Amino acid sequence: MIVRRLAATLALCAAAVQAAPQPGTDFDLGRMYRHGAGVAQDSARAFALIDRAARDGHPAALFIAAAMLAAGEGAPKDVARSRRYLEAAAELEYPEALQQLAMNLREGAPGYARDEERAAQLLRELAHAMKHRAHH
Amino acid sequence: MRYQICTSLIGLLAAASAASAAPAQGATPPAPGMRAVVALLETTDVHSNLLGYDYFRLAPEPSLGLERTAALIAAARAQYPNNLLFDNGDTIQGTALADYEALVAPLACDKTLAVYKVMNLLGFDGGGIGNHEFNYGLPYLSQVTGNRFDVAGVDPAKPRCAGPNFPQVLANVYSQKTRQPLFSPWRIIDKRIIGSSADGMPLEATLRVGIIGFTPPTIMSWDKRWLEGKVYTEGLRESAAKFIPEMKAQGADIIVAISHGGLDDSAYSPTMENGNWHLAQVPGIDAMLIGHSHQVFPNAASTVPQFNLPGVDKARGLVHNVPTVMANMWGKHLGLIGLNLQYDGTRWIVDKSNTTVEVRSAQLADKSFVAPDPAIAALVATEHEATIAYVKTPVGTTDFRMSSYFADVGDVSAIAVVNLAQTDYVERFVKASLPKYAKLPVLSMASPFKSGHAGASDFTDVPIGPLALNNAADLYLYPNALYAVKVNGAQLKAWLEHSANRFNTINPAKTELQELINPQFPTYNYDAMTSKDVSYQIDLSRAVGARIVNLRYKGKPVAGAKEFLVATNNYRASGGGAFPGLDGSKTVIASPDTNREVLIAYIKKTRALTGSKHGQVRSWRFAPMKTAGPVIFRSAQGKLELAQQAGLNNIALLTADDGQGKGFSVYQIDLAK
Repeated sequence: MIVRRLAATLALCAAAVQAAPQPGTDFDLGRMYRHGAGVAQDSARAFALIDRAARDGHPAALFIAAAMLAAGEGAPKDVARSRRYLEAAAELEYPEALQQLAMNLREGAPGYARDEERAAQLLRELAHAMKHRAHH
Repeated sequence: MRYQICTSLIGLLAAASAASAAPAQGATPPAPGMRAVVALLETTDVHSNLLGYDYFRLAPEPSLGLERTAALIAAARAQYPNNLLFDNGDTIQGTALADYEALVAPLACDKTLAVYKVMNLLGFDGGGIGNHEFNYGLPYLSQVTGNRFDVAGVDPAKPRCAGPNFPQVLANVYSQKTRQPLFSPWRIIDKRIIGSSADGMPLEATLRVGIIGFTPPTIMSWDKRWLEGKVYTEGLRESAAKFIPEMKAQGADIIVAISHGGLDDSAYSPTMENGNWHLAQVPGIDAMLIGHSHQVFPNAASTVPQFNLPGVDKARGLVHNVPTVMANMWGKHLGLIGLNLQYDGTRWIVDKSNTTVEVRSAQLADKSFVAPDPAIAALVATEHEATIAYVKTPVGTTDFRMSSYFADVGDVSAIAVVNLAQTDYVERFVKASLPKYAKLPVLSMASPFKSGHAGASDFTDVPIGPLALNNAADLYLYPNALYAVKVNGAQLKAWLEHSANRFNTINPAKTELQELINPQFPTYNYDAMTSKDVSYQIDLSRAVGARIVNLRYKGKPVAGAKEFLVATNNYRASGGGAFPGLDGSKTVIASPDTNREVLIAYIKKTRALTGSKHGQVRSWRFAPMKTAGPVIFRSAQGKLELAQQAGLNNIALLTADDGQGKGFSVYQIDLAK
């Protein structure tokens, strides 16, 4: 039953995806393929979907795609593109991306010059952005 | 390029025009041909940053605060004698000072909120209402803005209290009870201006400036707990189309939209968060002051998607040809639209080719900042000092030192209380709101956020004695929200395996020095449990990904399918640190409460933290391993005693100074013990 419902959902999602950009749907579907949740696990397909959502400006997808690119998960490792995605998510005030950038700057992570002041500013932005989130 | 104000509405307003065109009583009608430049100045997203000060670090922070925006305002007024100063909203919330006034020592009815005191001093002409104005609930907002909201939950018997000395406008939020706007939707400000005739002679006139305000309709989701059933929102376009003709009919010469939001060219929806790309297309708006996104607009170099849309001129500051400005946040910038106006005998016309839009920064080219206005610090000295005292107020005590110097090797003194607080919160949350998970065990993960990466002083270190709010910030550095995820035993083990990447694999036969810590894996991703119900070992001799052994819950091996709720934070639950399976899809609780608030509440409830109950329970050990050579790690100098106090009897000092000049020692760990 659950499998049938999932298949129906996937079919609907796929139809929606073909019709018009649906970054939320792409992201959800991509995560299902990433974890093999109701579908056969497929990292490449997961990345393709999450990446499409990312390119449509979906902040959470940008953040996850950045992590996948950094790790070479489902796509060749691409540190520069990973960073671009992370910074794009932060520009959209995605809290986790603001935090990741703050951590990178605070600690001088590879590729980042240490900058405590900028890190502190990003943390203040993070505190603010967290107030914009729906809760459940 | 010229355009006539409100041309498309002329027909609509024909009937009303004869009466409405008359200026206010005592006003001077402009002479035909008169020209004038009028500056619209904008602050936005001030978030109660009055002084350049960071209340959590208890240190000056010159990059923010209205005390420095004041200098930009003064300079702009000197340059533009005809000026109006407006605030875009998100004004009353955002610092510890704001929390102090709202929650700790609630403002008396006859007192004016500190931020409005400052704005009164600076002579603001008007303001809008942002989404964060609703964060403390409607009764508070009604009080501090000097209103008497006729809305459910606000006591109608309460008197009108002190508020700002300038009008505040909001057109798209309505009382459910009365179906009327919560605030005045619009106002007309009569402004005496000086200009010149076509032949250069000075002239005076009264300009009737209409202001109309908007806030993101998404407040209904963000502040649902305060707003549901009490107010409702209307789309920006609908509210504008309804009220702008009214404003014109009442004699507004120009219309300024003070709209808290950014730009978004998605298909229009009355509930969209950033509706100003659409708002600009409503006929009749002469200038837009926008905000909310914490960005600078205009900015020719901006790569921000919302400023790279069709109809948006990011260099000149035009949105569908409407001059538009967004002045960043926290008083860092001042927005300025220099409207070039000409009176054609019947109406004022905006000459857009000579209208300028710019954002001025409080930070100068040499990275220094403009001088603060000392009158502001003097005006809010009492609130400032009270806030500092509040941040330093003890909320409980600890009889053990809570530090992260040896967190990597098993000292849990800085994370155990975080795990206890998070577990307690989730257990209570499930009981109250998620009964379907009542049978799942609640676990908690926490990591030491400070572990020397930024130097020997970059460790958590809270001394024995009283615990204050700023100590809580030391124990929980990041402003995360408490989240909980549902995982099974296999996923829990994978989580711990990923955490164990903090350690290098150790070859027991190697006689040379081996470094314990993998510096590529930051300490903030080293999640650990500190529960008496859970035990596991990390076997460093095994390959990465296969090092968690003997994972048990209440003494029994954890089956792969057994389900748990794990308390953590939004960063981890949403994919931070790239933990396997965690990317938001397993989140079952996304709390509005921050982990730091949860920790503070737990300390307040517990009052006295003791080492035996709140600082020593370990869930993990390194699997015993005899190594032929020394295994080493670095921590701050002179702290060996703390390792011993934490019961770590396998740590020794190898080199007092590691020679790097940053205050670190080399310590040795005996993995056989």
